[in-house]
Amino acid sequence: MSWIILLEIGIIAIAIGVWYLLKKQKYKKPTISFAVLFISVLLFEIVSEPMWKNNLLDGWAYIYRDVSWVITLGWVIIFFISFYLVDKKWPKLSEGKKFWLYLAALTIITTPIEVILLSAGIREYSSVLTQTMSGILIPLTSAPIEIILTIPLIGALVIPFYKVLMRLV
Amino acid sequence: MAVFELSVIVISIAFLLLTHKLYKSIWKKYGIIFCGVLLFEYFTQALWINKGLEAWSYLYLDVNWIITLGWSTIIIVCMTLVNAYANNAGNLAKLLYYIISVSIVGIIAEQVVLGLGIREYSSAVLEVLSGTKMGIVPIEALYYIPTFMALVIAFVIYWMPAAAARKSR
Repeated sequence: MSWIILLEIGIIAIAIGVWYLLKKQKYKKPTISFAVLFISVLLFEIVSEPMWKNNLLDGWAYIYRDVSWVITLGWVIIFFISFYLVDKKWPKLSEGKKFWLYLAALTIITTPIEVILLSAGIREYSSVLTQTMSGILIPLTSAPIEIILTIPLIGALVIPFYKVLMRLV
Repeated sequence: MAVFELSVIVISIAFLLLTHKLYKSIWKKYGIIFCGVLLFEYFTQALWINKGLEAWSYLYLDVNWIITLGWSTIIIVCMTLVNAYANNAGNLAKLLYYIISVSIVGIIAEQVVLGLGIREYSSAVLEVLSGTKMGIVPIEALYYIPTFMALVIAFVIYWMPAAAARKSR
């Protein structure tokens, strides 16, 4: 069994675990929440697909070109962990303030994962994207510093989309 | 010649001046829309090329605040019209009306900027396009523009209550 399949199965297992925890913790509409967040991330991934490549995963893990539902699940897990940590630690904060903490948690969790995916060759950036990069790397890694700016940008658009849809469904 | 740039500025200011007495929060809403569009444009700037505009209208690489202003005005005009003519619709229906109306105008606007030679797609985008077109706009705009708009409109809906609450404090 290759390490890739272990990674894929690991992500799926963690996603199921997260969904189960949401259900157990009496999270509001856990299955719908999971589906809405999955769709939110997937839409974003399809739109931004020409900018990156998800390599090396098994054929069944891809939906469209190199958009992978396993990677989408990975994002969903990270978003829910960020929501959980912030909501648990600061339950009384206003939504506007929580938003910034969600972005901070998302960035702190995702940055090392992105660095690992890049060095493992699973993630690759397209040439049109690398051309716009400064060339500055995150210290002690070969990952571009722009990751630290891009992750909160993704969160800043996906989180409102998810939260607004959850208010409406 | 800055005809395009000046036209966008004049149309945007005219709309805001005409409506600001009817809708007290229009400037705030416009500011939030502008931020949402700018975030998205910055994030996806590797995918398109905005060229031929005056140097003063560029913010970073080819991210252009006139284009951002243009998108923001399209969004606020459509949202205002939907609010005026479908005020009794449910929130989910309204969200759909926003997305549909902005997308229709957005596709026409894309046709205009492509025709004027202001917009071009990067090589990474050209690689994934099917080649099928509506006029001169790639058919993929039917997916891309509504998705882009859905993310930005959700961003506006998410931030509007927070902005209103801040004012009432």
